[in-house]
Amino acid sequence: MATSDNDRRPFPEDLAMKILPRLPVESLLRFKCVSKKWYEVIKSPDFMRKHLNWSSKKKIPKILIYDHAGCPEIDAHIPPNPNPITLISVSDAPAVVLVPDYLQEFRGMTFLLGSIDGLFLLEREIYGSIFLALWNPATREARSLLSPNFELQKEISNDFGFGLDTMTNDYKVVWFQSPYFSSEEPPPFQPTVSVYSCSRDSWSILQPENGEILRYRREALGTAYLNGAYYMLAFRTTHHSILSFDFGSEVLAEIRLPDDPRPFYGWELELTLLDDSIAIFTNIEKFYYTMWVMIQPGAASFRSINCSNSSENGETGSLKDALTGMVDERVEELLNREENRVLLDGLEKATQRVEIAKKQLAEIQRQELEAKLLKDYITQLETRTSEIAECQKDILEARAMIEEAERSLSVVGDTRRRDASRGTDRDVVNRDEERVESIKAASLSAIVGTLAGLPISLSRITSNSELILPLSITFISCALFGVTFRYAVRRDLDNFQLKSGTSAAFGVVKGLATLGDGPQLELDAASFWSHALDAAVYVSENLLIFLFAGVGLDLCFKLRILSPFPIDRSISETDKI
Amino acid sequence: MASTTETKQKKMLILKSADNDEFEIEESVGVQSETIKNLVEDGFTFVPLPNVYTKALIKIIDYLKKHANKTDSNDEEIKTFDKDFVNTTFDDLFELVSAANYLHISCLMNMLCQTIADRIKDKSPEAVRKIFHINCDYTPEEEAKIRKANAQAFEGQFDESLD
Repeated sequence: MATSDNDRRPFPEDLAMKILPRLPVESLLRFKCVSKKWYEVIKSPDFMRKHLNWSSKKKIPKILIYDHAGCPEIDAHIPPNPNPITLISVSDAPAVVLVPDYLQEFRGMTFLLGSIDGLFLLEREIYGSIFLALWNPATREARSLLSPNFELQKEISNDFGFGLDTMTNDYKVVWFQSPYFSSEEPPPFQPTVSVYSCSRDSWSILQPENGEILRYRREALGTAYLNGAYYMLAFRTTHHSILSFDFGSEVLAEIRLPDDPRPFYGWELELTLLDDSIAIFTNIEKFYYTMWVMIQPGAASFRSINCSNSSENGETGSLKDALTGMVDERVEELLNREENRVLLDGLEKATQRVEIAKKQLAEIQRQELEAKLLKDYITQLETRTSEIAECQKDILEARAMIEEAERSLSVVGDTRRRDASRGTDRDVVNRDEERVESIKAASLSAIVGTLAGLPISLSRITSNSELILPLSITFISCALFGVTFRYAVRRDLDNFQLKSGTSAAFGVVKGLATLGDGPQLELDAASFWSHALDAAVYVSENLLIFLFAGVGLDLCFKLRILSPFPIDRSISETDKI
Repeated sequence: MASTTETKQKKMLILKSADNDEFEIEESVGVQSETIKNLVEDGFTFVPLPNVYTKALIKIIDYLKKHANKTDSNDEEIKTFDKDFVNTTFDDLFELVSAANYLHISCLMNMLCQTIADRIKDKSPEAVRKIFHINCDYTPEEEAKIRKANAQAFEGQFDESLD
């Protein structure tokens, strides 16, 4: 059967990869020499991670005890401890005392930090020099780390952290250096953070801005590495914090501790890893612990858990179970809340957006309203402008009228002023002129009257001598009429009643006076009638004479041959000029 | 559960092995395999399996039938069945692993891999080579060097048997 074995096709590699991770480390170390292919597979980081995942699923907890006593550097007077490392399996296996030969050079190491994925960090100080190594107890391998190329300060406090950069799967060692804590100010040098990367096999030195906090740091109980970050406590004078160093971003962060009802007594506070949480506990009172469990690494949210330790033996198992249960519950609760918070945040943002939109809309509406108002105002203004234009036109017209009026007024005023200025000497002249005008009127009236009365007088006379008396009477009365007419009518030349009235008055008076010269009135009808007839004839005759005289005068006034009373200065003057 | 099984009873699948043997199974049994499930969802009722030989396919159909009728009461019965199922030669196990891998039956895959791992973990490198039909490509010097580097792992006696 054995002869035919190797004739068959070899077992597929991809299937081997599904089986090998289930093997214990010892078997894998042995199977490295099955073939070169298997060796490569087993040594590959990808396989290691797979193996780690498998073994962590069903790993048996083990306790590694390192006996610090007998370290030649620290306790020179104590004989060296021959078996410093003890591995205790929680399973039924007996405690194994490790005296690994390959660890001989690290016998008496001052620092043992573990474990990340089953790897430990070893540190040893010999006469001021520091040696570091990574130790994998499962493969029984120790790998010395390159010595840093920086000078070690004196009076220095060194602390180391060990963890995994989860992004690059790179194991890193962080080395915190700070002057010993003292109130000395300023400190002799600034704290530094040095990081060793296993994949690069080199150190890098960081000087974080917040490095000052490292002076107040305090190491955790055990290894406080969680999800790519290393945790410590920091005791400031005012408050206490958790320091975290992220292996991925290589950033040092400070998380302020929750405010406890009681003031912290810093040195009674401890930080440790509790399952998958960072926990802080204090034992201010005997058998009484307060724990704060940081739910999400990096977020300063804590859950306070009070636990009383009833038995002095310390039933850590049950305590831990209880705590684990509580923590899980609270993590779930918080996660839900975190999810809710995201939703709420979204809602809040949406609400804000709606609010903003509303505001914008209101603003737009306001602007529209303003625009409308402005438009209205503009139309109003336009209307007013046209009104004003109209008004201005009116005003212009009015002004033109006023100017006109003023012009005419000024003429009148001038005249008046001139009148006034000329004084009494002018009055004398005027009176003389009036007299001349009156004489002119009298003579004109007399001539016209006499001419008008001539035919009547001619009809009554028998001889030329008889003609002289009536003609002279008519002449004189007509002259008087002319003067009277001029003063009676004055400038009211269009008043017909006045003119005809004056003529009528003279005619009636002269006619009736003529009647008085005739025969005596008898008290009988014939005498009465003859007298009435005579009166009518005489009055008619005289009316005719005076009417003619009046018409003649009026005609002369119109033709400006005669000037009515008083004489118009402007006209007369312009005439003169 | 029972009602859904009944309604799907009429739906049958035909599996064809690499040896051209055809097997008719209920669809509800077949869909425990992710590969078959995907084909059924695409409307196939005839499933050719060019990577699975008749011998392995018969055993796998047995396994699927047994696990399709899994209830709380027959838990012990199934455990016994599984124990018998893997109690076979490495070559048979490898055939089954190969088939289970192809068919994507995760629970079977898990059981077979763990069985193989448990059976080889205490074996010597030489025995493993024979079991897996691997030719040693190391020179004696190279092999000695690795043995020396991992001396701790070679302390004590190892199982040299091939079953």
